[in-house]
Amino acid sequence: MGSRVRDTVRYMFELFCEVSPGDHTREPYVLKKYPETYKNEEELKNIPKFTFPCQLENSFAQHYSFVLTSEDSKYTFCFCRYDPKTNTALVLLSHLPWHDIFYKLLNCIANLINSSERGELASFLEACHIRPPMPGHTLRVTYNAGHSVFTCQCPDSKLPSIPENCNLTEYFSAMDTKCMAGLWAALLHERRVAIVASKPSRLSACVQAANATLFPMSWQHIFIPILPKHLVDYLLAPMPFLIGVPRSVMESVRMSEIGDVVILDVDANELKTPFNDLEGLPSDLVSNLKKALSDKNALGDAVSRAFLRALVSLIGGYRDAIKIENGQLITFNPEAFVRTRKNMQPFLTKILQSQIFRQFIDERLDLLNSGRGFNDEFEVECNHYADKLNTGSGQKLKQQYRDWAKTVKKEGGAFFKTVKDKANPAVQSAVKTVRQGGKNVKSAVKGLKNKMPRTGSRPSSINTTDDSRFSCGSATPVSSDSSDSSPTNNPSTERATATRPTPSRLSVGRPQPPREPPPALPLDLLTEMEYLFDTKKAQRRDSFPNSSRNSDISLADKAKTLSPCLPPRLPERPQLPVRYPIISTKKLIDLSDAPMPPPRATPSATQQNHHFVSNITKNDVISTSDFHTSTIRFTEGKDKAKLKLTLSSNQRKGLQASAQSPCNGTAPKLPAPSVGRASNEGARPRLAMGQHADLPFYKGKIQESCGSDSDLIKLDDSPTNLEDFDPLKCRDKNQKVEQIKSTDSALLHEYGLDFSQFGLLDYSAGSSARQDPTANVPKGWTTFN
Amino acid sequence: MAREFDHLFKLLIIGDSGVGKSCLLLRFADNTFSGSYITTIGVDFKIRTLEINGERVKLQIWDTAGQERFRTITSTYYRGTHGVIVVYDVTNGESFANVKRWLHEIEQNCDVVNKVLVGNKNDCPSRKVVVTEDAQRFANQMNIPLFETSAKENINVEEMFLTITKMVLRSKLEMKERQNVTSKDTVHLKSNIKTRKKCC
Repeated sequence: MGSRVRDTVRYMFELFCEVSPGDHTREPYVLKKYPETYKNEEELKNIPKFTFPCQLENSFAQHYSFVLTSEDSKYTFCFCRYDPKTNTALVLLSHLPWHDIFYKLLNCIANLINSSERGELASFLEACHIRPPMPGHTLRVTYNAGHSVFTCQCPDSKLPSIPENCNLTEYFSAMDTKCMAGLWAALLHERRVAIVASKPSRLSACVQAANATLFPMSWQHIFIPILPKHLVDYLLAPMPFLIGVPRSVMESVRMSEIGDVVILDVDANELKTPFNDLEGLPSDLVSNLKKALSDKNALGDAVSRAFLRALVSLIGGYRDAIKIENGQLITFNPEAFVRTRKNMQPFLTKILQSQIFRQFIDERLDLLNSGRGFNDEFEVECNHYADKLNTGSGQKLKQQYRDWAKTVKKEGGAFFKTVKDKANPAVQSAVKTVRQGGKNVKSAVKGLKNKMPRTGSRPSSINTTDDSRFSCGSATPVSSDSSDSSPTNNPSTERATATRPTPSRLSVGRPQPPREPPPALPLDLLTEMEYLFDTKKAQRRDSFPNSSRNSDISLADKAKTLSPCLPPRLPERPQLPVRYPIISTKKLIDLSDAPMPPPRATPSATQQNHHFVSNITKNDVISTSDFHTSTIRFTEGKDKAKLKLTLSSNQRKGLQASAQSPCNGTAPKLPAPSVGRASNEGARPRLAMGQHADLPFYKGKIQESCGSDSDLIKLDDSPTNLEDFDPLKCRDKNQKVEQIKSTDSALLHEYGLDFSQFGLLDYSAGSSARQDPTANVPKGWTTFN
Repeated sequence: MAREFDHLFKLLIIGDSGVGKSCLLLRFADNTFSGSYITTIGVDFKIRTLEINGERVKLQIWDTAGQERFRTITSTYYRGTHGVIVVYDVTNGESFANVKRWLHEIEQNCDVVNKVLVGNKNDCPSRKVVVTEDAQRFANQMNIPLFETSAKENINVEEMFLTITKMVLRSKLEMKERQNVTSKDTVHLKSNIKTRKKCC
């Protein structure tokens, strides 16, 4: 609904191709492609023209991207690297909007193409043509006979920041404050917006970055980051659009027919608009925004946050307009919404009539009515804002929602179920968008750690009042049943026990083994709500990271005591990446339906002659021990190209090595609960993810030291394990046992969103390995040392 | 500058995917070889030039992908258009329900005056679930014309497009007259009005 990025992403990329610009006699055409079997003729026909939308300056290599929109209005992102030396462009099609990662991947591919070993490119592409890494996981592919490594990490849920985000960095450096604010206002009014630049690289970056300033909303209309010349007539469209127009294309437009268009000229740093959109906004809001944008040396998420805060002060009051009445669907009251901000009622009336806002509200309502709740950076900022005004709105709403949820609970969840059924498609897409919760993630992870019982204790009841639950509050069950199978395979019983509880916790409303009574959905609602409006607490945690860290041990103890009362599946949400939540959801859904988890690249290669590389390079002994990777290395006889595919959990920086903790990978036991602490706030969420990532792959060898290995500590991974790991197990189990049941699969679909949160993607890959670490390596995954 | 038309009208065609919007457009378009881009960039349009009462009218009809994801289509979507063709599938009750919701929304929040309601796929009586009486009652209530068409059999398509075009033309001419009246009162606005007329 809200987001237009796909929920289900099966592969890192859909297609790679090399495109020639053609010449006077011939239009651009595809030179080669991978996979050869790619069949989407419509896309194949259009890619060349989009890749060379205009004459390219051929003095330097450049990266740019364009977007195709399918019939269901979902985006396919196409990343290009034009190299003047070869006078061709390399293009990757993907459903993931990971610009920075794919530009990096394109560089690797370019290196391979330029290298003498021709066969290696195919192997490399094959190795990369797998499921994308889940949040907190890292994909590592070695190439160039092992001399080079491509690594990519699933983007986290934080706001885009400078300089990491190339689009935002380009946009911010190219435009002045007035233009950025003016364009933002025009987008909020859903104008017909054309962004003009001579270079495709700058053009696509600016269009993407401008779109991202709308977060948590997303553009709902025509979206064409680079408009090829032959489609220039589409600028005549009467409906709202956001189109990037190469300068040469713009020159061919009949301006007399185009009507009222907002034009941002990137090269000239100039915004031409026939409207007074910015002036229509409250002046203090505009001046605050401009002030925040005026620091040209701004780093990090300052720029993104400036836009976010401006949006909070505009539409953050939507929460006060949410009407919760017992026994009824939660609704949104437009009149109440307009009253939420005294000084900007005309604008609020207007934005009620915008598609981006309506979609945003519809998506939020679906999340509430389905019991999922939500939390993201936007909600965090809303809480800040509400605190400042001291309205206490968050508390009120929370209480209402709690009551509402209780009522639903009394009714046995039937209501809930119906709502969910109805809302399902919308909700699915909605969840995607919502998952952004940078700060919350941190606190959530922490909360999880504390909460999760490390031993097999199962939560018999859900303690709704527990503060520590910061999950975004997905009420949906992650896994259908507790998986017995996977634990049995596990070498270490400890692990098995530890992991086992998770599925039960996570699963709600799905068929479960008798020992665990399925928690009622309403309970989840409560937790959801808690989460939703508990941001204050979450914030508190965030704001005092040190104190919380220091209290790790006590927390751990606390966790033990609390463990029986753990809320189901709270932990999952936090892990979700804010920006690119899609992947996770997708995969979950995918897995449920798809019979096959195994990563594509590995099986064939491994079966032939695979040596699993067991080499562990330890930079730091302790740290390496914590680092788990599963590595596949295979040689192809013909080409003699060697590829190593490594899935590794990455613990990035910030972990301190604790001597006591055993290596997760080697020793399947759960690390002591107390240990994990992130050296810095930012790293913490990642750590947790990394940890669970490790667990699934624990049989994988510890292969290479990450750059950050030295910092690695063993975390308390029990919580993380549970989250990530169990879903997998459940998954596997589901697939084997229950997959056939249509009802179950339907349920999975319903709850597929939640699954995604857990990051099933990698699991599929990991799961095979996990099952029997020591004995057989299914599907070519590495053996465990 | 000499133009090949006197009026350019931009119309929207809305309705769930699968109700046959693109088929209707194909039936209507002058040139079916221009290719369709709805699956590439999520938007498509077709052009046709008509002559009505001696006036040459160039029609652009625009379609966008995935409209069914909207519970309501808000007024910003219709802002730049002269008329809306609202299509449902007579064999699909849900598509009719969506259309009703959208039309109510237009009624409340949009200035678009020219609308037609189209029940497409009206070529197989046995599969028809939206009965004509219901649709007609609703159309009367909203005060808009109803057409039951079949793009496949080319039934009623031409009439429908002609009707909406005439409606748009008439309202434009009426508006022109009104403007002329006001411009006589306030003389200095004249030039402004003229320039604006150029584009539509």
